[in-house]
Amino acid sequence: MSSESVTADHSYPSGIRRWLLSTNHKDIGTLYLIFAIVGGIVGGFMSIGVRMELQEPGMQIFANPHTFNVFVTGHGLIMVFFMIMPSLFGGFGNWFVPLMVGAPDMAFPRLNNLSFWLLPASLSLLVISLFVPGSAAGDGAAIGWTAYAPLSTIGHPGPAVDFAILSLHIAGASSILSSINFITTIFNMRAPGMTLHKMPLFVWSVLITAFLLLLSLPVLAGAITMLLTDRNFGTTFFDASGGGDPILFQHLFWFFGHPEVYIIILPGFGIVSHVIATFSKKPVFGYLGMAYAMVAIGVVGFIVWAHHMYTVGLDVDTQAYFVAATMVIAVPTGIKIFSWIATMWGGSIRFTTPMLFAIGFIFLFTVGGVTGVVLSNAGVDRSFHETYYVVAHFHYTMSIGALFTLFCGWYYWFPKITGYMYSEKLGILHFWLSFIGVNLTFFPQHFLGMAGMPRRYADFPDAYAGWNYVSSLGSYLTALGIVVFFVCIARAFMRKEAAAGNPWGEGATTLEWTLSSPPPFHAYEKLPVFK
Amino acid sequence: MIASGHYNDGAVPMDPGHQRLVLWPHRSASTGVTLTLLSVIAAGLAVPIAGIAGFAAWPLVVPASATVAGVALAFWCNNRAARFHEVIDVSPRAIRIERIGPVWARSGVEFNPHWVRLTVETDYYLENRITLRECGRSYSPGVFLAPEERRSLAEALREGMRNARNAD
Repeated sequence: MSSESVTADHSYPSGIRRWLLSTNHKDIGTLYLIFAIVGGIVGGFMSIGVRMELQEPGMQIFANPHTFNVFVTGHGLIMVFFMIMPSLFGGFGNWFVPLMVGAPDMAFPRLNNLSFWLLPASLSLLVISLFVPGSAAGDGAAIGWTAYAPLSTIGHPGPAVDFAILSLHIAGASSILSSINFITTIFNMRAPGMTLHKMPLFVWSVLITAFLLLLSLPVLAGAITMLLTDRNFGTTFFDASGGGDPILFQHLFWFFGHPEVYIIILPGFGIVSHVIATFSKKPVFGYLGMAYAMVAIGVVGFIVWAHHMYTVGLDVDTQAYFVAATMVIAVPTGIKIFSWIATMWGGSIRFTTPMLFAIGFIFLFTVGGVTGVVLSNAGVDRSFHETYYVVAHFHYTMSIGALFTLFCGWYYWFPKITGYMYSEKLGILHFWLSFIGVNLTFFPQHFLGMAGMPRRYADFPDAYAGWNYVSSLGSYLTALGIVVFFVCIARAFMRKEAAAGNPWGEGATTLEWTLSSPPPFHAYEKLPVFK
Repeated sequence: MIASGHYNDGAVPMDPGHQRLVLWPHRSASTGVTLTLLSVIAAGLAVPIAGIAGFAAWPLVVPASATVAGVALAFWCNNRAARFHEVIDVSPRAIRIERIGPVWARSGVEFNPHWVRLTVETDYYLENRITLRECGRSYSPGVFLAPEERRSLAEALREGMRNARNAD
């Protein structure tokens, strides 16, 4: 037998190596969060551009309606794939899932690094698509985030759509790899004693999100690959003239697209559960009910996709099924809303910034949920399909609802991640500007939709001018709130007010609060054992 | 990185004073859980492809199969990493430490129980690192264990060495 000395290089990487080659889950989580901020700035500017255009009737800032729709498309794709998902799932997931389950890191740290670095490549391709020929009307892909054929095939002969499709392929690959990593970590790397029914709700939410991604993204990958071959290699999967079916693309897209709504919001559910429990100084009401409500939302989310397609000619029985199935989602969602309220009930509530964002989220998500029940009805949807009522609905749920959970998590975990406290005054100012701003932006869009204003048009009749003006003002107020958010971050980094390991007191009971702020580079040299 | 694990004195005494310790990293999912998980994912992908999209969307089979294969590969790799273990035999004649890698590559080291020195370092990066030293050779067993488990391991090793020395 040979002699051997087992030692490892435990020096910490620094500089560019630390970030470019990082295999540390916290560093990769930070990279995801920074990337999401960049994505949010780009996508946010696009949404402001859209609202500036719609502020008044007539063409305002865009050269033509095509460019307007390129912005709408870019805004949607960037916010979904490069802002909300990287922050809630990638950022907070990477930061806190290993800490919460007592694992020293993710199961596959190098794969984790790859998952992240695919995203900048993907975003680059999407940005390139804005500047290359799309349709005869101009550069860029004006296909909406749905990319329906034939608009995305014969409607856009230029390479812009190819770039957008490749971008989605890479973003999808990144998400699938992340999901595999999360599932392996959560199932196989939990500390002794950390059973599934003891896992924090945020870990549950990330686990269910990972499953949704694994089961839905391959369908999207296949569908857009078929789109790519239809565009470039003469296949006719979605071309009726060649024996294909354009409705098939819609089925495939929405089989991914509807679970995607829950992929976006589920991690937010987990965050809100933690925040409400922490600042009510009570354990979350009905832990198992909350966990299995998320499972139910995930499962039912897969069998309701055609409620996005009531107008394509589905037979009445099929529509009746999708109406019923869609309405069923209100049950687990209601369980969650009522459990959050029950958690607060009788609690010693502190209205800190994260708590305000959590309560704001409950309001916004409830409004979006109620309009969702309205839209689930196939008869009503005949009138509201492709109107601003739908735009208002999905922004209340998956856009500003998700955004509020993101800010909720950001302010909650900011002291843990950075080691610095932020200014509560600025945080609360940010909340109120955002809350008033987003409601001013999107609530009037219900009225516009009910009045029949269609989405994806750069111009509109004078009859819609009033509420559009209000909506645009609301978006500027929201943007002002974002400025306050950045001031709040900058101030925290400049003042360097040290945060305690657990700055929130006795209500914060999950494992990450037992560590210092920020946690050590390698968190669990001492592995926790749960009893 | 190996998470951590248990050590177990699954004693297989061959002669008086002989003690065997087996150390392995911790994994929380059993084979049954892994197989159930893979079945759920495979069924979850097969239903929409076979039942809804059908032959018209046959290209979906490629990414779906790749996803299932990816999950299977991930669990296989993760569990393979957990096959890494160490077997420590303490007897009056020798302390033999055998490290068995994930693909059963074996390496080891042998010390004289009368001559070897055992130290537990608390200020090293790896808390409670155990080091066995003799004639310029050294080995640190149980690097993948939790610090508290390493402390217990050190106590067990000290007791084993004491027994081995007293056996003569």
